[in-house]
Amino acid sequence: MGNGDSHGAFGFRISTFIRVSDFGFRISDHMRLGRVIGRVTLSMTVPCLEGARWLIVSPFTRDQYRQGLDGAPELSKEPSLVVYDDLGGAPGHIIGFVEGREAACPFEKSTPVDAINAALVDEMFYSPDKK
Amino acid sequence: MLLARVEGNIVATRKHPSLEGWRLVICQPESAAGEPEGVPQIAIDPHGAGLHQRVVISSDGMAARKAVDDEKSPARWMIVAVVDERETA
Repeated sequence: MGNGDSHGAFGFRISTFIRVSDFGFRISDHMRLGRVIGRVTLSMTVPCLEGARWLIVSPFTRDQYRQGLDGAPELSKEPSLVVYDDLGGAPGHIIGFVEGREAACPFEKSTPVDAINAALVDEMFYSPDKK
Repeated sequence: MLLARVEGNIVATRKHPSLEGWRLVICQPESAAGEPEGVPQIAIDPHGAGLHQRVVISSDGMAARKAVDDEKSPARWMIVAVVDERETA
């Protein structure tokens, strides 16, 4: 497995699927849960993103999955990101967001989006420990 | 593709229309030693995997779009197999 300090083609690999780029960004593009901690409003955008809603989302760590949806609204160590939203998420909500090329799939034209809100989470059942 | 363990599921009323009717499960990727590795991921589950079952998840977006039959779906992780047994060297 890719544990340890092996240098991959795109920066520094921490584990099999977590990489840190040469510029210090964490490269990961998957679907995760996160808590909405704010909104972004843009005055000038590329035309295809006019009128879009944007949320600031703090991704859940494993500990926060354990705490459930009503856990303390603390910031995770993971860097927060700006997520395109067309479902109506608001600060305080838990959302499932998709990162990567798939985030641009729902758009008619090619759109410079790499994180999108895919689900507003109502309930979560999480039981990580074996009986 | 990653080896992962099913650790739960989520319920969402408001979601992308392509995810309507799909089970969304929380999958924790595992290392070769069976230790949790990284952050839990959300995957669609066409196989009906059980809680705490080992599965193989694929991040192939195109396969996920085919599975949900929507070219405009943002779906990404999909459970592609349920593991019966595994051997480590």
